[in-house]
Amino acid sequence: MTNETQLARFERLVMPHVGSAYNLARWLTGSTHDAEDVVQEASLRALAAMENFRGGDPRAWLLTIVRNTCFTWMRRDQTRAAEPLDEQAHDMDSPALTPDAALLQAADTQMVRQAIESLPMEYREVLVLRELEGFSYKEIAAAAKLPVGTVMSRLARARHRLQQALADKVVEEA
Amino acid sequence: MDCSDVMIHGYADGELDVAGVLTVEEHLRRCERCAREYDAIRAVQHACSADLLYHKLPPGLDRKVRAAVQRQLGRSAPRWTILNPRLAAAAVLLVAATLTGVIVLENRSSPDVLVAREIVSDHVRAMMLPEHHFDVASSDHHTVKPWFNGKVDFVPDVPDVSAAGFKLEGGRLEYIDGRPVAALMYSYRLHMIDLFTWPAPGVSDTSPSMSQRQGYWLAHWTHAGMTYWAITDAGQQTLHEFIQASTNTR
Repeated sequence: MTNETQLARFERLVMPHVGSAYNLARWLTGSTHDAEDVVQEASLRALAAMENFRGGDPRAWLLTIVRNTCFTWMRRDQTRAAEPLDEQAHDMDSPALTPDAALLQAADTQMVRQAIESLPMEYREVLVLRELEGFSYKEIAAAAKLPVGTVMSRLARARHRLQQALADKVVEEA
Repeated sequence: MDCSDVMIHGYADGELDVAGVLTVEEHLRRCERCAREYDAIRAVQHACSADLLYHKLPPGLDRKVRAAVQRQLGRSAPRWTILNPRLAAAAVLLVAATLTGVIVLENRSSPDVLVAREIVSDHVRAMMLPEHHFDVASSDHHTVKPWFNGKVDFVPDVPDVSAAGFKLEGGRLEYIDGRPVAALMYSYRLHMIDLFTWPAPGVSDTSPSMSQRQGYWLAHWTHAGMTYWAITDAGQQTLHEFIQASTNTR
């Protein structure tokens, strides 16, 4: 390990997961251009943080850096700065009656994409990490620096909102 | 159990322990509202699994990342670069590769995600019914290995890892990444491990990179011109031991 150059270590730890890094950044920033910039900035942060990486899953480690970079990026861009998420306020979002699964299955990819994009960033984050990157609750909690309980409730709310948004879209199209 | 959304989600995500699973399953049989919720969660999970939702790496971004890293390394340690001939040589190669547009180093990013999805789907489908587990059932690698003869255009490596507690159960033919591949199934206690392999000509050796999808652990590596994917429900540690054992037999 000591003989491994920084470049070789970067190739081994970071490069295999650049695809995942881009997917997450693209979902969080909502723009191809921003996602490319975030991935490059996050890669440099990863390069600087590499010596502190002590085993574990390099992909989870890199995606943690990517999401932090995204949040910094969005904060820097004042025009797009999102309002802080009020978890309690969103309690009201839970639909009284869950939409029928058959209705949800009628949604096409475009509807699903738009519905995910319409979610607040904090909900989009847990949803993308779980459904697209296959993260466990524990990994999401570590990446987003949240208690596992908050991850669970946030994911449940994110899915409720997505269900509602999808059901609305399907009904709209019909 | 009372109606608990979080428990239903935990169940759908495979995050509950055995006691939790049994409690939820029992509850789902009785509670129409929660059963409906569970179906809706599964529908959302399914909707999100569409390949088209995964944003693929734009062409050239990996090259930009490498270039940015090289610039950074050049800035922060110019003297070290000169003092370390190996790094200097690697940098020259990389710059040359970037300039000519030839990526010498393997790009394992977005295509791998697609293959990983295929691997998970194949494995899950195989596990659904006992008769799907394998096309040739045998714990003898001298039976399993020749079975692939004439079915695939390569000779799969069938590692004997019984000493480490992994029993060969059989093999089957799969179709992944647009080609026929060999799938070998091993058991470990109550768990199953699928090992997929096919040729990757010209690809240099890589050490296993692990990831998790839908609760399964996956590992991917390349050795001696062959690509390997292993998947299991047994957890990261077991998968690691399996890879160790299978590489030790070589």
